[in-house]
Amino acid sequence: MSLDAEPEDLVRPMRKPGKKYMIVGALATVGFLIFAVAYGFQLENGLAVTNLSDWGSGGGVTWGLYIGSFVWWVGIAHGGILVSAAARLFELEKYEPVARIAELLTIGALSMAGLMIVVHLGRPDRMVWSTVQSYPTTVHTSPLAWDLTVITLYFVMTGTYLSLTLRSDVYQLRDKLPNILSPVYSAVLFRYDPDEDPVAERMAWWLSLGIIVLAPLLLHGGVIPWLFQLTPSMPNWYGGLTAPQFLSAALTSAMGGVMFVAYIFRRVYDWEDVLPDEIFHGLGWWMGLFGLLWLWFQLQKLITGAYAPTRDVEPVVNTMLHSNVYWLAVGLVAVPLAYVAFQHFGILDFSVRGTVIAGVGVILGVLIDKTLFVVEGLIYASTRLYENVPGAYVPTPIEMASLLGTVSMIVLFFLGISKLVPIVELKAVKEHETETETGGD
Amino acid sequence: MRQTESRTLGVHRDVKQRLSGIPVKRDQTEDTSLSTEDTARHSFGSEWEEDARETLSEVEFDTELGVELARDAQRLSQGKISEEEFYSRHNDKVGEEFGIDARPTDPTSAEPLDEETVSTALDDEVVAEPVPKPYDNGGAIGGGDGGEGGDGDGFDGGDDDDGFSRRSVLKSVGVAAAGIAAGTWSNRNPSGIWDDDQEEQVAPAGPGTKNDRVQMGFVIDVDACIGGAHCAQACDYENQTANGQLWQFVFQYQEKDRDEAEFLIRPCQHCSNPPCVSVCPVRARHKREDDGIVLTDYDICIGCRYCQVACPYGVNYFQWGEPDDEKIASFRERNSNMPALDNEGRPDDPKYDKNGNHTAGPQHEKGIMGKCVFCVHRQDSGNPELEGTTACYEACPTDAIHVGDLNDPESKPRKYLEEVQTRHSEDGSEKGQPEAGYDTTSEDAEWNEQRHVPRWRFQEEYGTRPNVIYVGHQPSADANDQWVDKPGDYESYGLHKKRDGFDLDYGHGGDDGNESGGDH
Ligand code: SF4
Ligand code: SF4
Repeated sequence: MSLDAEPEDLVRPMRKPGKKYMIVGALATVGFLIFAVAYGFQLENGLAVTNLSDWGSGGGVTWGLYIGSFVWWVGIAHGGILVSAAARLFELEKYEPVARIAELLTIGALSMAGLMIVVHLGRPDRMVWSTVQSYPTTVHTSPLAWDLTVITLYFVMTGTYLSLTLRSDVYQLRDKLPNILSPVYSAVLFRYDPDEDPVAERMAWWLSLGIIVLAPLLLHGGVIPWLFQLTPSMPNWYGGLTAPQFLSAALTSAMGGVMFVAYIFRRVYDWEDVLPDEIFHGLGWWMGLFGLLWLWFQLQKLITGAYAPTRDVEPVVNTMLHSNVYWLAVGLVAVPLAYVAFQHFGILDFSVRGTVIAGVGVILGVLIDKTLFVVEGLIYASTRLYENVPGAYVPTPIEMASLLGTVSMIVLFFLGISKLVPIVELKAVKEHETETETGGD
Repeated sequence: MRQTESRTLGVHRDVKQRLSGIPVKRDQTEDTSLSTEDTARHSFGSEWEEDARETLSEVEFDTELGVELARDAQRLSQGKISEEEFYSRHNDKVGEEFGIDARPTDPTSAEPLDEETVSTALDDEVVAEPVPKPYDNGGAIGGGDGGEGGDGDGFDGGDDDDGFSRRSVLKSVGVAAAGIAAGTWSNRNPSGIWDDDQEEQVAPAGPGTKNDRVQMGFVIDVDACIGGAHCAQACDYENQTANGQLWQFVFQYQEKDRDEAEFLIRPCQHCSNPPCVSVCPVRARHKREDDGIVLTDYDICIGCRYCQVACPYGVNYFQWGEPDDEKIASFRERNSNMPALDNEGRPDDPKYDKNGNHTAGPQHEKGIMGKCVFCVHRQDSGNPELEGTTACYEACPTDAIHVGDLNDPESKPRKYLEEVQTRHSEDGSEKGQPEAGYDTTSEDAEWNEQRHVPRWRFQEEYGTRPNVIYVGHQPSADANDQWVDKPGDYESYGLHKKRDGFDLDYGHGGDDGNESGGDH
């Protein structure tokens, strides 16, 4: 299948905004404002405005939706960059058109993860100074300090990666780009020389390699789950299975995220030729595969906790088995998995829209699962003497607003960035112009 | 809002006298004579110096300075030079070389300070020589005892005035020097002294040398507890904590096969291997070198609540909303005339501990973490009647709580343990048999059978090395908080189990009593 896309198509989103653009922008702005008000309210009155509380004699959970969504955003982020790095490293040309979208999603989602931490803190004003001045010591022992390190590292790596490929694109499309933003482009092209392209290309390759190697080790394969799994007194968290579970959840939700953003662009700018069906087909397949792994890890956890559980594990798994919310999360991953499998084996017709909806299901499922994971860890702490202390956790509207706010910010981020730079690599279109894709998996 | 007027300590004392007929205990003024015992174990021969140089050249500090300091410290401890001389020789150089901070610095290197804390104290049946008292600010304790492999808060400079900065600086050096002197650099070891192998690595300690470090802690006789929560009430008053912040807490539970209610008094365990300290991303949570108390620096804490998550005991309480200014003022006022506040160089406010860290009293603003501080304002008060006591200890009508230096065989808690042991081995009383549900395979169980008194620590399986030693019934794995009868009901004591909610009531977070809930 050959693509009919022209470089011209890529700058189409950068023209004057259309009606749909304005509507989405307005909605996202409202979402952001709601968050701003809610957060201002929280700053004013303290975290008392949440339903978080002290675990132990207070009967509450001290980490909740904020930490759940932090984990969720990091998951989406690190899967995004993996798609892009894999496309480059393994020359999966099919995915090149979504590579930049994935990179941008990584940058945006990492920022939102960072923001969730800020929102979660009791004293965000002290965050930078307190952390920096003790960093040389705490980096030895505090998983939270490790998180900070790794997220910063990823941010820098992704940013570098993105800018490497961006410079050449901006240079080549320079005359087609809106004049009003000239200063921005001049900045992007600072000391650019077309000869640097092969070097940039090689650097990008090495960075991809670094990302592929580090992502599973550091982000959801390591540092983020370590935040939980190194706590022996929280049976829902403790143990080596936590990391693989996190990684599979991250990857499956990231595929869903990339598909979702790509689909929106495809719809709005009629990019059927730039972002063809086969990309969604492929991403859906990977999403299903990682989702399957996630389900398999869940199964292991349930079996271990149900057959001959230790006293501290038993109540958690028992609750999971009887919790509708948990099964909702499982269903939101399992049903999309079945759907893409049926498509793949030709039992159902392939549908881009259906696959994207399945992806949204997976994203929601992972969000619910992550939040539940955090909360149940704290409700079912090992110290069973606290068991009869009253307590339950349902996020307040204030907490929900922060989730809405981060989603809105991602939307605004994409709306803004798509006016600024081409969000599909020129290379992807050029290559498609001359080559014939073999397609399929 | 609770009525503080009716719940003064005076009331507690009355209640206590009524209940028990025992006069309110006040500490005897402790013997503060200096312990200048020479505990040096290594001579400073040329071989030592070569070794020391080699090791020092691998660490980031100045080699010459380290060697010199160690040598002079040894001389100091042997009485060959005076303290003044020692300080005047090194003060400036040390200031340049090390930052000034009393909290643990790099945990991978400063950890030795709590490596040899209390926990084995009780296994030393005889510790013949006196060890320094918790509040012994007096003399230089024998220089960094080499045999302890880094047990080196040796140059504990005496005077309190400008002493604290100097002392902490010197401690850093002491650790380095003593570690080198011993030829072992004691690393963080989660199993620590609970680990037999580790014990063997430590050079055999002579009398009086092993537990030179002060480790404040509790011995709590849960069988003596009547569940009146006087301790929780007294703590609440003493520290003026917000509603729902039960720094001292009493579990009331029932065992399947026993009729009567059981109690478990639960302060912070002031662990020797505290996970809350390890996980804190900003070093706000720290274990004080002076006496092993675990504290939170309210001025540094960012409110991430990781300490709360990592602590297996659920003893941390966050300041969710604005604190009550009246309570803070009340804490400050009642402690405003402690003698030690007059010390030069110490901030004139009881909210600071003697190291100048903001750790005492309730959280003074929203968004920061708090927990039992071992009444640090009392320990640092300079008032011998208050030092070595806590509010809960003072309020308990049945003397269930004993506080003091667990490393000191002469301390109240150690003496109490001795006393129960003698009492029960003499009369072979009801405590002679392991309790129902008691884990008869544990080391402690063996100990019990030999010594006829159940003695245990709470959830020590997490490697926290807690510094609360319980005497009496240990909760079985089936035990959970039951609230079987009213005396343990917090509401009736004006205490709150729930934090205050916010005006915009979401139907939660408020003070909604004891009905059981949770999505079980
Ligand atoms: S009991 Fe908890 S808060 Fe206290 S020192 Fe131990 S781990 Fe830290
Ligand atoms: S809440 Fe404060 S004391 Fe606790 S870990 Fe976070 S910064 Fe440290």
